[in-house]
Amino acid sequence: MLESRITLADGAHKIVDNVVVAHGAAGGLLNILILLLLTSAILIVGIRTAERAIALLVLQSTILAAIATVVAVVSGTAEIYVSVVATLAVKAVLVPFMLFRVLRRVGSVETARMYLGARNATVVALGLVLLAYALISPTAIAGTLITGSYFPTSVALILVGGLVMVVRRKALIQVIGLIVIENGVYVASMATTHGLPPVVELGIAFDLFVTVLLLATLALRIGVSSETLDTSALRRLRG
Amino acid sequence: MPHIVPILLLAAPLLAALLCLIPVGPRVAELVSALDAIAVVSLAIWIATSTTATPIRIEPGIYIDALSATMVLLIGVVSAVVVLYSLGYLRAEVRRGKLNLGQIRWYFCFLHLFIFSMLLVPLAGNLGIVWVAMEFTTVLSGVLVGFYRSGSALEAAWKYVVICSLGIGLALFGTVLMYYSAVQILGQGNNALDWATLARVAPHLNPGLVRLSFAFVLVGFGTKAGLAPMHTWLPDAHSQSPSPVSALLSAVLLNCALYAVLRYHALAIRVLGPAFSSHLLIAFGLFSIAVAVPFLLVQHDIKRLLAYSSMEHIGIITVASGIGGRLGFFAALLHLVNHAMTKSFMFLASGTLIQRLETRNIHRLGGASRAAPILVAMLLLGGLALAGSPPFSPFIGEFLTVRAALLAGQPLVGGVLLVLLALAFAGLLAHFGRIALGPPSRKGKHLDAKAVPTAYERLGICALSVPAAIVLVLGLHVPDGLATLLHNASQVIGGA
Repeated sequence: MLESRITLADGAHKIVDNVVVAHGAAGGLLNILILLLLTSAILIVGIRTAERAIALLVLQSTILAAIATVVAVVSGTAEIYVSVVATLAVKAVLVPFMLFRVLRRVGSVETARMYLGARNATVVALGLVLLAYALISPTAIAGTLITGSYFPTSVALILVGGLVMVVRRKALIQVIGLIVIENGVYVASMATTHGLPPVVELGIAFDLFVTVLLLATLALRIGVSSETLDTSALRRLRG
Repeated sequence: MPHIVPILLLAAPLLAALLCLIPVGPRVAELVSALDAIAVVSLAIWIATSTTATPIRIEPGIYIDALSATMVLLIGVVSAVVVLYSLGYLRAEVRRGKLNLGQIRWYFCFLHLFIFSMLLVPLAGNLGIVWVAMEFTTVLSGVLVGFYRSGSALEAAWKYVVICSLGIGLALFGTVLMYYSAVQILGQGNNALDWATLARVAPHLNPGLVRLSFAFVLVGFGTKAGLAPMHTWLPDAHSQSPSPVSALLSAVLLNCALYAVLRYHALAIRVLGPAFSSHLLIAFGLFSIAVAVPFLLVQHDIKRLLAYSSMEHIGIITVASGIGGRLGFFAALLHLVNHAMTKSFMFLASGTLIQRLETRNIHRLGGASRAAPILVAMLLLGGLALAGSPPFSPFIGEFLTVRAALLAGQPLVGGVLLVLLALAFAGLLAHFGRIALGPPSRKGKHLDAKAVPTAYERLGICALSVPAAIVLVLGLHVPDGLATLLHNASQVIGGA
């Protein structure tokens, strides 16, 4: 898995290999969707306003649901539709709706400030994606599933989601980072096992919904009490 | 034990939470809560006393072995004490103008939901549901951490929910990996996440996947257990939440997270042998103690002091489970019980003191013994217990841990542990000595100090004396029933 000399170029090669070797029409479609998924994650890192970040999140969650649908059709596993519906309902509709509501109430539409410039952060995100592919061979964890080679994608999404949470100061965008990580774990479960059992998937979706509901409420209250959603202003508690 | 008992145990707090929603005065919510507390603790004791070495399975999805019974007992006792104490505490907060009467029923509603979610963690036999319940505890306790709605409380709640959700996201990744390794043998479905089934087929699981899974689960649930370096939320959340909630967070919630880690540890031992996961646990445990001790020495805020002390004790439990063997696991579980009892008492007793003297600052609490002599004397004894002094029960846990380390041929671990424990001892003793015996602070207010306690407050004092009494009794003698339960539980982790 871990060769002695790994370069980011290796990662790029593996992505290309991964896309070129398509398994029929469904495989080709899946590859395109996976590329779109990675692109949407990288774009979120450098996006200017919170509105656009939320819009990208809707797009990303829809792509995720589309991937799950393709897998469900190809593998004939009806249980996957449960998680398709849960993903669409929670990650593409409810969560973005709650985040938009906070934005409207707090009225914070200015450029989302960052610890790292937008361009630099995007470059780092790209580097993280390449690193994920360089470190983990697509065949390392691959089973016999059609999605088997997408394990590195999930690791890339988790890394990029973590980056979003670290470099963005805006409270709302940290929530978006959390969901990108969650999406990465979802891809991992698709890549390895066609998803967790439906009961667990529903539980996870419900948890995500209430977590974001609480975070949105807190963001509203913090925004009201300090007129800002800038997390770097949150430093009362130390030591 | 009739199969309805665990189901009733889960239903009672849910029903109580529903009843608290009825929009009438706080009296109804308070009455319902008191009744629920008694029901929960009785059912939990019933489960713990009727659990033997043979696990019980109840459809749908409930699985009780000695390890889960230990956790159920702990959650039942501490949550009942906390609910009964909350009655007087909240009324006093209303008098002080920190909360209004209308908030009382909402507090109890979320408190019961929080207790329900914690009970679900040990009762669920499915590792996926354990994850769902853990994330659910984060959200519900997050509401309670921010309950005062002050700037710093909201900030603490935000930090807590974001950091723990991030951690728990990684734990989900670990869960997916464990599921994948099991699906290769058991096929898709809930069976491949069922803990007992996994333990049975463990020798056939893919070692590489299990190793990766344990690492992610340890970091993920370790974040919620307050292991360093993922602990940064812990002192904020514990110090900003209402004192009864701090007691629940520290005495039970951290243990629930540790419980989940121990379940994966048990699987990792069976798949990989003891070396891999044990070394990780010892390293994270010692590091957590080492990070907590300096903050114990320089602390000014009594609740933050107790929070860092929780980190220290969680570290000790983690090290003990890493050392393993019959003695190591027994020491870990005994210390888990000891710490839960001592810390719930300490948070509740200091909560009352904070209300009377209107400050959390240790210097301003100086000489508080004039205002509340009995309470402060109990706090001093509790501080001694936390520091690990005999004859209190935490001493036994720490002693057994060091002994297990030496017997397991790890004198270095034992030595480092002893040095850190000595430093923590000095820090805790200095702070509680100052509160009890130090010169009275001129700035401190002692106005409300002599006020006559209300009936609710007397009930609260009785409630918080229960864990104090348990600490004293366990320090002198561990009853046979409890010892058997803990021995059976350590066999669940380490194998027969």
